[in-house]
Amino acid sequence: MDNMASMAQMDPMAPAAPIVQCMGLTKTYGGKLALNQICLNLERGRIIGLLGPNGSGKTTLIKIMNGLLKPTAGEIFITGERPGIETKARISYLPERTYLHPGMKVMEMVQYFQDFYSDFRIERAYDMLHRLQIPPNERLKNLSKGTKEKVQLILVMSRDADLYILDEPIAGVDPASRDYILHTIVSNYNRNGTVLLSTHLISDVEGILDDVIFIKYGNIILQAPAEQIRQQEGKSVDRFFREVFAC
Amino acid sequence: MLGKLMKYEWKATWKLLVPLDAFIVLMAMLSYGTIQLSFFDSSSNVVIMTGILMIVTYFLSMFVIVAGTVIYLVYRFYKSVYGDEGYLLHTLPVDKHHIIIAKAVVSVSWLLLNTVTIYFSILLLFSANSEVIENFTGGFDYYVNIMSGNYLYDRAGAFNVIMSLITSLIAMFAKILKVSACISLGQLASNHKVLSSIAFYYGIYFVQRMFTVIYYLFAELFEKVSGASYSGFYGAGYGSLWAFNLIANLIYCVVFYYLTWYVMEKKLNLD
Repeated sequence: MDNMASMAQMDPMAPAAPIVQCMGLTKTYGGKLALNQICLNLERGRIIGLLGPNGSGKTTLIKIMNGLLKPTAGEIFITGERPGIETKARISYLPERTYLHPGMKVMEMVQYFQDFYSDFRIERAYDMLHRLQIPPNERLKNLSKGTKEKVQLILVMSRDADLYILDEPIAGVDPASRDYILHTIVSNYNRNGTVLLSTHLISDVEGILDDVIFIKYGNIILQAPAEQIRQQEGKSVDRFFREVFAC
Repeated sequence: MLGKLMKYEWKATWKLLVPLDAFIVLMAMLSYGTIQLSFFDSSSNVVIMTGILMIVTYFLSMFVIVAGTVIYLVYRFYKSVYGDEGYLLHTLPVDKHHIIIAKAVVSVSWLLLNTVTIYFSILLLFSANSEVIENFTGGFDYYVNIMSGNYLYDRAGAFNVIMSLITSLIAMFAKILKVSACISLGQLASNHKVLSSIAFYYGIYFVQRMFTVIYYLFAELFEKVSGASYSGFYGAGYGSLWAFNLIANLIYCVVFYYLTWYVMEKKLNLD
């Protein structure tokens, strides 16, 4: 099971292995169920919205994918391997928090990513910094919260990763910058990879989503292409989400 | 990747810790100046008070800076491993062992630098007074002579000194790893994680003290039975004293290292 991806490459007739496979994935916190036997496959080359209200289990699932949490039960495979050093080299993760060292300069942070990630493209990072007029010489502590989030997104999207996991990438920025950020995501991700995007701001991201996953109380209640939802339900994903998760 | 982790750990800490050590040197030089310029022989109370103030500030700064270094290293570990920066650190494609080793080696390097800076700053200050310097450097000369071979005819003495230095170094690692383990164990609590870390620290400290007391009780018993003396550097019991410290600190290093690794690898749960 650990080498499913390499097995798929050996057999040209085999369908492309899912980039993420979850089987009976369960997580409890002191008896409280956060994820309930989740079974999920994410295919390559898709932009997928992970949508659900607060406390639905989105962040728990994302943390498990990134190796920041251990599941209580079940299995998860990223490109055919359990979360570990190898999968971390293939996942580009943007957490909800600002994880940059405030004392470092933007250019030092770029160098940091260059040093640790072999798939980091430094010229792409500087190009995006230039476009957003973020001075590389500036220390991160002198930047606004929104600009720090942009720097973080630039660093994450400057990698040629297999899987991009973006947790609320547009929550902290002004509406005018959201389009630029979404454009940055769409135009920079590795086309052979997958983008998993968790957000509350569905109307802002709906236009770029290929697939949608609804998660509620730790259960996956829907996984479908965004276009299929629009055609079957006759309404936008945003409107459908509001109906499904109405209080 | 270990080298890269150490490089960035060093870069993240030096901006605060180098100025702290430089401040000790500066205060030692100013204090040296007050002695050389005979501030204390002046007829002016203001000049005398300035000299006293300078030297008192120097000695106080030593304690403040040692405490400041330790507090900063603890804060830095907590923030970079279990704070927001942990989201980056724990998603780097690096082994958790490398993270712990990089942090421990850099922290011990700072503590060593602190020790060396303080020692030489005291030498500088006391060199203003030849009588004091002669007494003070006696201990230092003794170590230098042993290391340079002058005392090699006394193999037991040289061996004890070398093993004592090695033990001190391992004890520094044990202290750093103890703090790392306590902070890590504190993360297992659902609330009040910092308070839990402090509680773990004092709990472990108490257990360590108990081990030491038990050792000394046995040592005293052994002394009475065998007649071997533990007092003085050449006492027959000195060898077993550093041996106890060495073994105890090695065990502490292994236990605290494992606890830190276990929480990072198996029980990580960033807020």
